[in-house]
Amino acid sequence: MNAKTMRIHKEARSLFWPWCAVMIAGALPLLEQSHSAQMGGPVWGGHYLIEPASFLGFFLGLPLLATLSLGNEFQYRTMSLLLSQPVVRMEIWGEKMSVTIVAALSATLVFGVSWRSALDQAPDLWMAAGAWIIAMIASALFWTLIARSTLGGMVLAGGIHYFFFVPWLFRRDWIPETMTARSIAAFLVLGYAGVMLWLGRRTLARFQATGGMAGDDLLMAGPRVMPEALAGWLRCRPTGAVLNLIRKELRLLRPLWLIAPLGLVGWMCLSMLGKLERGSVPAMIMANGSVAVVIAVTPLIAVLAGALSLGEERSSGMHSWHMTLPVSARRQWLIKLCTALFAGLVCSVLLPILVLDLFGSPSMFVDVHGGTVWAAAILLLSFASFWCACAVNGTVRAALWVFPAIGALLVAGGFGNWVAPKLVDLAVSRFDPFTDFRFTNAVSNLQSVVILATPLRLITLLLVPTLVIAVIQSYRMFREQLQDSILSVTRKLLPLAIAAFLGSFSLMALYVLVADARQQMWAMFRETHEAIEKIQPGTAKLDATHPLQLTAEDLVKAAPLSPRTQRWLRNSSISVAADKPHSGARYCCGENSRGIRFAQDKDYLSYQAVIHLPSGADCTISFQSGRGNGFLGGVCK
Amino acid sequence: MSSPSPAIQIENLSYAYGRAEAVHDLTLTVQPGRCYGLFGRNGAGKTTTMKCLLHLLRPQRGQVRMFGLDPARHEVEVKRRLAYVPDQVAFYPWMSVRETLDYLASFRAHWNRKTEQELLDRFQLDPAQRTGSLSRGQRTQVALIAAVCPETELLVLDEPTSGLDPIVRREFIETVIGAYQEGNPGQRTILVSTHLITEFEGLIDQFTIIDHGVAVLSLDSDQARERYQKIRARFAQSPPELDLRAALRVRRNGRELELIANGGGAELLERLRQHNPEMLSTESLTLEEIFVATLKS
Repeated sequence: MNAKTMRIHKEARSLFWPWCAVMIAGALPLLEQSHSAQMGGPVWGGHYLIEPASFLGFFLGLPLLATLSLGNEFQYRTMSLLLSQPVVRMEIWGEKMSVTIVAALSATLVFGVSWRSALDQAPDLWMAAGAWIIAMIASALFWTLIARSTLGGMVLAGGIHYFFFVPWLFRRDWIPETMTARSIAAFLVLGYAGVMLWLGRRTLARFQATGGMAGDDLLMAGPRVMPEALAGWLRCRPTGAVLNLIRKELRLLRPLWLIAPLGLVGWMCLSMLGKLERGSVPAMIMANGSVAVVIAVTPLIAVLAGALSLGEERSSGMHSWHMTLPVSARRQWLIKLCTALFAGLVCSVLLPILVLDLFGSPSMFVDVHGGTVWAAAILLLSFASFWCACAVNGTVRAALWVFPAIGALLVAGGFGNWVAPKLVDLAVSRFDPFTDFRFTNAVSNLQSVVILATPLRLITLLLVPTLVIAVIQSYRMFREQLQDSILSVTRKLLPLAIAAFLGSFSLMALYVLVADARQQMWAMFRETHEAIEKIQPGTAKLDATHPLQLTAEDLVKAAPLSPRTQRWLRNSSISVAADKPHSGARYCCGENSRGIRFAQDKDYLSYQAVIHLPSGADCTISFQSGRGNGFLGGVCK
Repeated sequence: MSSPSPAIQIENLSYAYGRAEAVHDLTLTVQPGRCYGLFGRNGAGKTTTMKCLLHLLRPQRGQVRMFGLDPARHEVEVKRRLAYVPDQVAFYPWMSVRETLDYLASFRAHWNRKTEQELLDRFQLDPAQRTGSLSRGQRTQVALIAAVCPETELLVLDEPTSGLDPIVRREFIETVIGAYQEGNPGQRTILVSTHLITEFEGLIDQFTIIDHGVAVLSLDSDQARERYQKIRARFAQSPPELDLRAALRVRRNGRELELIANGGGAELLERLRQHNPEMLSTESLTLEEIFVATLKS
């Protein structure tokens, strides 16, 4: 391997994992489409997970790939080392650009294939997306050199072109749909890209490694833009350690405060776009594109809120030093976590909601009434990001870990969900626990499972154990020295994945077990009802004061009963009495009632049967007759 | 009356990063008021030992006591009584020197403003300057000020003089550290890890040399100087063949013979004297020479 190949190899290696993540995000819609075609239905949760993941991959992943090659040099403080090597700077520029272009364009290709059907409906979106990608890749190196960080480069390279893109969304009519106009637009974009490439090359050639540490990071320590009064309040005092820690945290989140207004402008544009664009499919798609950009900024802010403070302290070495100060690690951790969650909530939820309230909500895109879910999602994302910042070194690494980590937990939870019914069925078929009536009845009466089975409560139940472990883990990792590697993060993720798996597995297993038990009980109620139905012609004079007394043997003679029902009903006595009609069909047995159909020409009586089992348990079967159908319910106590 | 607890007590400390053992079965005790040197080559385990003391790393085996307390259980109490200067000093780049010192002072019950001003003047630091624009040496100076001003019982210094220019280095070692210990004689302890052993020569009371995580030598500085001696002898002809197994190192150069004795210097001298050398001299080894001799042997 010669020197040049080695350098290119090093560049490619630094981009490899982010590139994989972006490629996966790009390929997700394809996987969903292929799954839908094979299985005849969408993937569970696909709409909620795959689309946002794909949008995030495009609007955050591509700028990241474009800036990371140079951003890594700033992050690891290797810029001086790199530039001190006996290599012409233009050669370094060429190597970085070629690796970046290959990585970004290959990922773009995947996104193009995935989104083809949607983009085909609005051909000018192809042009817009192409223009954005070319402009962004060409200018990424320049903006990263200006910002002197990956994050700054991403925001500038991605964000500036977004604001070119928004006015175009409003006034698409400015570019007539003629070949000449399109050629001029393409020429302008290519010209702009050429100028940005030249600027990037020139800036690298003249780059001066001034200052040390993060002293030159534009977002972290750029020009003072804060009003003096606020800056004065944020200045640390000789007393008040806790307040100083909070001030320091707020100041560490400076990039967030700078990016948040950018997101707010996006929300304002979206709000106005919501009023202007209605009706046509291309208009909707373009509006959705705008939504996607805003949606990309919102999670970025949430992720940064969680990762930025600890990430920067870890990579600069300040964190270890703080651990030697006479303030407990727990207090420092708590302040950091609370500040991160608070910042995420304010910038990603409260301020956008305020903007939408002021400018009007584009209700066709955003449901502002779902504020609680939105806030919960942002808090979770910020916490996930904080966890990653505790587990790895540096903001960018933490941010890169957030989505794979969440994905891993979702996969673990999904696997638990998938495997539970299969295992329960296998166990039931093997050990047949429902032979015992008491067990079956007890399980079928687990009403709490039914009561708790609302989606929100289920999600909460699933999340709580995983979250508790994650909170404990984050504290432990916060105070530990890191062994920052993929293996160590995977090892730390493992308990969470196991908790997610066990949570979803146990809930689903319990749910399936209860459903199976109910099915068994239902079979007994139905068979008993069918037998009573057969006996009924001779019981026309049924009334409440003279109930019909039957035995299990009478039922067996009237209709075939399964061996299990026969075993359960052995030596029991059944008293059947006529029942008056009730307004609520499920009055007696709640969830244990089902509608049943029967022959239209027959006349059935509503009745209530009480089965006295030898074990002492009493079962009530209630049948409410209607025209051609009825409701059968049963419950045992 | 019971004797005060040692400032630092390490017993059979072991710590490994994965499979690589950084510290193995290390035992040492630092009494209050002493200046203790932790010497070793790069990667010997000095920083790991210090991090275990500060509870930045949890010992995997053995135990660590600071002022008789477990730093894991009495975290804040222990840290209140010490100040630390890491090997790589970092500050928040947006803070000025003044703000950084105020920030760090806010964590302390006591902060000597007079000392702070004196040191700022001595190091010629501008309090209004942002720490992001400070040089590496200047950052170390700010870190040293921040460590000295709280006047804690223990100073833990990890390569404190790296990056300092010779003038500041000498001033720091001779004046600042000296003044710190004299501020409360017999009570203020220093644990320092350094490569620049010569610079700390006059300051170190006791030291441990670590190699590959193992303590190879722990001695009082005076005892060490007594025990390690360089013996030079010049003979009229080439040096005679002698039984010099007791010597740590033997170097022959023409008619001259140079020995390093690790104890038993008197016996070696006597043996050399029997061969009537033209010249016979002895001198104590410096700590740096002891360090080199120990690790080379």
